[in-house]
Amino acid sequence: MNMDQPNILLIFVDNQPASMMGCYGNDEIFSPHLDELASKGVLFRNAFCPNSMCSPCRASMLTGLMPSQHGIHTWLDDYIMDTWPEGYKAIAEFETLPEKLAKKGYHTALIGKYHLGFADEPQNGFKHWVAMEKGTMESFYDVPMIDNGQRHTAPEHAVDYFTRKSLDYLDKHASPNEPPFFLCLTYPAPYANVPDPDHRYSHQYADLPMNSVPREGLSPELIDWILLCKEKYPDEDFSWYKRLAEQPNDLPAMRRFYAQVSMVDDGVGQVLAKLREKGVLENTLVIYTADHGKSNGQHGFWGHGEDTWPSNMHHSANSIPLLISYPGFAQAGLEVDNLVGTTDLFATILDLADCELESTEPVFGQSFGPLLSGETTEFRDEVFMEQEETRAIRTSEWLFMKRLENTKYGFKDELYDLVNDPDERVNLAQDPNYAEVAAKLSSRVEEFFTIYSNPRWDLWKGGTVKSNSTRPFLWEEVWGEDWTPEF
Amino acid sequence: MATKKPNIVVIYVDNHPGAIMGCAGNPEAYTPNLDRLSQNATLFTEAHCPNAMCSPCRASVLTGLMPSQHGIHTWIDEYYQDDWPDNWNAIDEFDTLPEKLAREGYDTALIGKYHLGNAESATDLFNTCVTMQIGHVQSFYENDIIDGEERYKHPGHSVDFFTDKAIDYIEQYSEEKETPFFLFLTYPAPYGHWPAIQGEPVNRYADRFSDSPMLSVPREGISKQAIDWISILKEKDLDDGEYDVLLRIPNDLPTLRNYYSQISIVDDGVGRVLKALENNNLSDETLFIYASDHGMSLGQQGFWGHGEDTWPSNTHREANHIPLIIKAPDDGNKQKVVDSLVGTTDIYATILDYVGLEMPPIKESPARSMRPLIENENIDWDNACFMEQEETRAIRTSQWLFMMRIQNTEYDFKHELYDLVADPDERVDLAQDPEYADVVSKLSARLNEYFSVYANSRWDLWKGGTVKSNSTRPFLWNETWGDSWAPEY
Repeated sequence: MNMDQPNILLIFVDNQPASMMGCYGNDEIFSPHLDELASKGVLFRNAFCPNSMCSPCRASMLTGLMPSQHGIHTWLDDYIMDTWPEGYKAIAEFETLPEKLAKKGYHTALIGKYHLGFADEPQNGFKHWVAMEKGTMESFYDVPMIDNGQRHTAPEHAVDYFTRKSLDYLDKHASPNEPPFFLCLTYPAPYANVPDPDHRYSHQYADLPMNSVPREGLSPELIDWILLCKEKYPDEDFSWYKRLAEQPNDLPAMRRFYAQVSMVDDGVGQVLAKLREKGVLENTLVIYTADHGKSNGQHGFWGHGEDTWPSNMHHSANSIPLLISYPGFAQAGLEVDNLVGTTDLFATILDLADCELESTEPVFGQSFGPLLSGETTEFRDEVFMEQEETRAIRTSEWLFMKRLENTKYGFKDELYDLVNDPDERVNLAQDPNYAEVAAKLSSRVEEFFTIYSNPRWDLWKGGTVKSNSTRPFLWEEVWGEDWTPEF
Repeated sequence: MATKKPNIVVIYVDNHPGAIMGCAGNPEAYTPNLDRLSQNATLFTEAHCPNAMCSPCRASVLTGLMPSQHGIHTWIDEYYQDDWPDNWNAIDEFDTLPEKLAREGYDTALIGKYHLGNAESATDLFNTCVTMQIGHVQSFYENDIIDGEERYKHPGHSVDFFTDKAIDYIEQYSEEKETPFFLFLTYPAPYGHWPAIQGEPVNRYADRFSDSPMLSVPREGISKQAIDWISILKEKDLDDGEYDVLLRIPNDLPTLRNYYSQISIVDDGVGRVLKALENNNLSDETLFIYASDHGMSLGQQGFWGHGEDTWPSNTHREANHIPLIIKAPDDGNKQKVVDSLVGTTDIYATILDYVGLEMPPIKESPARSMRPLIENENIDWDNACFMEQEETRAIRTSQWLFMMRIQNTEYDFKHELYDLVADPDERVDLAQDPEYADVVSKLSARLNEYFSVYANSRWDLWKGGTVKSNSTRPFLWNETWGDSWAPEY
């Protein structure tokens, strides 16, 4: 067994906060295979994504860069695909994780959602390519797919489709005698924003009281955002924004969302069984994580951190599940409390695959490989996040959200004492007693983004975004009417 | 002495839906006094108010008239009080219940909130007034009180204050054996709006509710109609910066607990008043009525509060269903449950009946005495309630709830029809289903017929009329009836 070159299975799901799994203490979710994976591997209690939208986090996963470095600050809007340059590839200028791994002899595969530009042909060094045409989910059924150049519509639930395609792939490529594989399995679920007809797990959730999602009223920041959208986009279909207020506390919507986790869990079970069957499980680094978290109503909003005005980085929006099993290396049943981020995962995979962490851009991510064995608990105690007008630092003690100042909205910073107020309820940023803490964290955020940003994509310094922003009016107000997205 | 008329005590509270009482089957509500009362009285399980706002219902109970007759279609907004005529009393032109009773030799007292114009003008109707300056409750504490000639601020909880005043009044009149009294005790609670009930409760019932999961209030998302209402207010520039609160309150547990604790404080007051009647040997000779001005959605159907807080307005059960318990004088403390559909105006007629006054002519008032329902087992009763909320007019029967919407607007409002037998939660709107076209046209005809009688063209919004003081959708009436449409007095 060559420990230097493990197979890598990266299961990267869509919109799943860490709290939505049995192994993270949720007794209303049925996730037996994920729970088993956690018991055989390492569970990270404090993993965070750099942004709470799909495309930016996927780009950060594949490049190890922050949004202000790779230029994708929100979801790439499929509805304006016709304005994209021909064959647009959103992160083509970077040497990505699959490219680096391919150089080291890996066979690389993307099976699932891409959402970083046109998905017609393999991108970023992926060789095997089964992807959804679009990134935005409108249904889990009848989804148009591109299977290694062939277009067709998936006959089954999209999660089952990608599971089936992964089993086919592993049948062919998972073997102790074959080159190592890197399978990036990006399920387009649990997702939560599509009406979902019944599936084989729905009945298990039909009468669930949903006590694991705290009952809470809507926040003023959510309502401000919805009403602002109505004002700024009078011609757009307002029903989308309304849903943000209709879904919190809506039991059927919450149950549908939960039930999708069981669909994903089912797929994970089948894929792991296949690795076992092929005799490669012992030499496979299995990672289960999500692009970003998602509030189910916690802090009074539904969904993404950008769905409030101003945007936020509360735990529910940016906390992601992270399970890693790597037999013989990662200690079974270990729970890690250290703060780690998506870009650290990038660095860790390269580390464990014995690749150099080389990049044209500065990379903040560090390998947390040493934490996996349980021999040490030493790791850098900070992660950074950004959501257009908000930039934040989270440490084991503090969450500080810094807001862009030169706007007409008078945005306020937020500071939470995570030791005494783990639910992030009492904003201390305006309390003079905490002025020093706030100032220190504020300058740390500034310092960080001085290094980890490219002026072209640095919204706080006159830069722009790739493809689209969710608040173009803000950037036009701040940087002038000429401000416009680029590619 | 044989002809002595019964004393009348009406406890008329602010925004208490009929379902939130122990005796209505709610396991989380703590209302021991109302529950005990219901064991010795008649509990009406299907009482509905004609409008889901404070001032219109208060006017209806005092006049026996519908909003389109008395002209008050929504809460009278004190913001406009500078425009009000001097010492304006919104129901001045009617021969009101207290005035009728006074002519029969009653002493009449208003103790509590008035909310029908300038509170000082309540003395036009009642001999004794202990009332609040304002109708729009901001807090249960520190309220400005009008007490006869005195004006002062009372620091404590206003429910307790009015209870003390009511007991003083009862004790005083128990001495005067010859004069019957009419006590209209209008608690400004449980109310159900911020800031009055914002945050965890801080009162003697706080502990009872502090960890309550509030499962008796179903958890439900916000409805499209509730969001439409907020967004249209903003669009029409009517957003006073507080409307978004309507989207923030539902599912807020501290608020729900606070609200339930206020119901317990009201219940406490009911218990003390009943005890005072008993202590003064007045129980048997008193007509005692407990009711609320209107209901209140605590998030059911995805909205908070009043039926007018959606776009278009609605008359769902939660908004219009009121508690109603009547203890008739000399009835031997019989426990009875009546499920006939009765309304607020019927309270007016019932009081007249027990006093021995003539019923208002059917052409003039829809009010019907409930006395036959209380006293007889089998009675022929037209089992229907009618409601109106500006652009919505509705009929509720034991089988149907039909909300008819005004048609000549740019908003393309749709009617709604619910089959209350198959769908008691009012979830499946059948109005657009061709199979129910007959039901819709029959109920529409009934509504049209009803409002052709019980509307004064001056106050009939559907026929170019206006409202007293203010409407919550003036833009709609300006759009429908022209720029010159304006409220009157």
